[in-house]
Amino acid sequence: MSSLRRLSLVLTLAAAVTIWPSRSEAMPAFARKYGFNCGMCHSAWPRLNDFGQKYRMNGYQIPGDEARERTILDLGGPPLALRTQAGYTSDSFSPEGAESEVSQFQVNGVDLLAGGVLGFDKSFFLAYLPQIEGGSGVEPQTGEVEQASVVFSRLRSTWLNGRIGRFEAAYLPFSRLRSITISPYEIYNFDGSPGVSAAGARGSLNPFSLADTADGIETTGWGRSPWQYALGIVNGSRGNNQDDSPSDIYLRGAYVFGQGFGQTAGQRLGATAYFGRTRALVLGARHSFRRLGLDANLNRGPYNVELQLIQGRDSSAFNIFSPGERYKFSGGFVQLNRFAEESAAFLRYDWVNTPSADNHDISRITVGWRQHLAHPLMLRLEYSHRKVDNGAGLGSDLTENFAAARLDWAF
Amino acid sequence: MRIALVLFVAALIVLVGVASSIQVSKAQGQYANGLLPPVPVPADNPQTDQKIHLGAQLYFDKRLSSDGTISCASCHRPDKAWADTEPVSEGVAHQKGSRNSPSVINAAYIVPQFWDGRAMHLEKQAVGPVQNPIEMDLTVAELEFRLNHIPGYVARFEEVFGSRPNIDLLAKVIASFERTVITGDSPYDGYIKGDRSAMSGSAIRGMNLFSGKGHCNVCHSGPAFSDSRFHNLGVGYADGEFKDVGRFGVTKDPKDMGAFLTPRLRNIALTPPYLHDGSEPTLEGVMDLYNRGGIPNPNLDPAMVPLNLTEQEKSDLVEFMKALTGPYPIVEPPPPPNPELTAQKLAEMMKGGAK
Repeated sequence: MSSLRRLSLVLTLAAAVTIWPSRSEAMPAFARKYGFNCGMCHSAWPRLNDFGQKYRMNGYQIPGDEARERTILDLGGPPLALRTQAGYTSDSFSPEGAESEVSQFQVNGVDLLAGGVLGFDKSFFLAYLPQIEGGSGVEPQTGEVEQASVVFSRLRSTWLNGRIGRFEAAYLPFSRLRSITISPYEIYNFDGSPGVSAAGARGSLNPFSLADTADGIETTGWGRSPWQYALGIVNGSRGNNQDDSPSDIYLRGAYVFGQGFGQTAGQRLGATAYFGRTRALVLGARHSFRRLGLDANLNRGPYNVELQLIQGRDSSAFNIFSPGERYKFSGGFVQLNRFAEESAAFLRYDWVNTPSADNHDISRITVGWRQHLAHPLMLRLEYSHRKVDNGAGLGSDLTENFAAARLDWAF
Repeated sequence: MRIALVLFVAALIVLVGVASSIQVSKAQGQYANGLLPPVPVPADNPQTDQKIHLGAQLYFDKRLSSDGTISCASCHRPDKAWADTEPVSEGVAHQKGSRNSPSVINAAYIVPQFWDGRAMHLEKQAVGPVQNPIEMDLTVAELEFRLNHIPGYVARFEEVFGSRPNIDLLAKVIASFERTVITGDSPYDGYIKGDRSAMSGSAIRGMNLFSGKGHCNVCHSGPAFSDSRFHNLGVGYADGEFKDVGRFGVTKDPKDMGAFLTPRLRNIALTPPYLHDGSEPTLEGVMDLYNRGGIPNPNLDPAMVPLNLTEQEKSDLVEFMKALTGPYPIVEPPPPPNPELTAQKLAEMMKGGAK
């Protein structure tokens, strides 16, 4: 099938799916349940606002109205939602020898989502990514259960909530899955998987990445005081390459200055510590690593600044270029967002500093704009320039220019 | 590539058009607002024209107050959308209460009555103010004496109920009358029925904010725009104290301290001032309060968070409030029976031991 035919088919299907909800409400599962629209929980969908963050932390229940929640059995239809993106993507790499380019209309993945209340203060969330082989006009997708967790809310009060299963852990102050950018947070994605990333082999063989969802158990707490906390034991996700039992531990504390929950109102300062053990190779021994982070989420009127600083330290056993020395790196990002009534603009700078013996520093600048076209539909425009020192071989930096114009649908 | 681009843009236009039309179907879901259903009527007090007329007479009759100066209509004025224009109304002897008089319009649609919900139905609410020493200030004995010494009322009650008047029958006829004070045919209703021109663009944006960024319908839900529940916005909280304990006064549950009944919103634009204490003269001021996330206090409702609404968005929400305005009945006070029997005369008769 030609790319043009494939594109036409995709657009026709997309139009059909968009028309379909007009007979059965046009919003994803939670919105349909309540009769809300996406602005209830999202400042710039899928990024959560204060209310949405509270709703999520309260186990997908309206804060203060838990007794009135309908369970999934009480709903008229299944608590399912679907999200997909399609549009034009241009992604080019240089210099010569390492160059490649993708420039085409394409469909960018499909997420199947389910979530809801199982019983009083018990709820679940599931995100399944079906396997897509990919091809002309279709971006490949690895089939996986990205999230599957059960939440036990308010075990004593809102200060003790539990989540078990696979989830995006609270050690990420800025959600990767609900980011308003297409380009990833470099410091969250940074891992030492050799040959996996465009940067090529790095100086650490630690496969752990903060960006992955994790399997384990997490407790969180929040209330009327400005403090919030999270504590969890997880398995290190994909970095756990031999299915070792969950033994990584993380702690997070945050404090909100001013009125608000710290997401879109109030000024939130946070600190996170993650202590893990993993194997460089499938048969290797487990070695320790840690990540320490500071973050700030600052709000003033329509403006929002996200700041993340992370320092990483891996056991010397992971270090390729300087055996015997711990592998230390640092990085972060600063992002300026402006949220208007139906749109959002953003500008972000990412950086990762690697040890001098490694010298695979990464920098990325991303700029973009999102326009809310209608409730289930968003237009995303984004440009990102990325550079990896020595990413194309010694003395030759790898650069990437990414541009996308996509429609983002959720049903 | 050019064809693909044209197809892409065409599909975009179609999708935006279709997706925009979807918003009309939004009046569904647990917290959705919608069209008013028929007025709920309790089985033991069915509506009849006779009851409604008798209830109207009594609603306007100032002899139901100790000094003959106050009737139900004094504070719930038909010419003011069945509410009062003052922050708090004046009762007998020019006494003032501490809470704003809510409108009678659509009171039939919510279960608890009064700002603190101390009456669970209209029948109980109807006789509350009569006995309140600040409002109408009659004891049950005084009330029943007066009703039973106005021959016109005695005859009407016997005609309607087959018995002489008492406080329970008084409650029934006033509640029956109040169940006729309904509004519903607002621009919003027209829009929900499918008339896309019924509301202005600003009001439509406000409607979307109402169930979106403003999350107003978490509490103002249902066709009457009230969840019939109690929430703490922090109004009246200062120096570590609640000026009015609100729902706590009824339940004695600390969780209810400073919480008040969610007011109905239909015709809200006609009934300033706002909030339980009437402290906010404008809808714009109410929007500012919500936009700030309420007033911080130990019992602030957890759904209250700052909203980051722009001036335009606040204005849109106010326009939506105005679009909830529908026609409502204006009732001319029916002539009371035996007007020569004034409140003073009836009080003297009781004091003189008349049977």
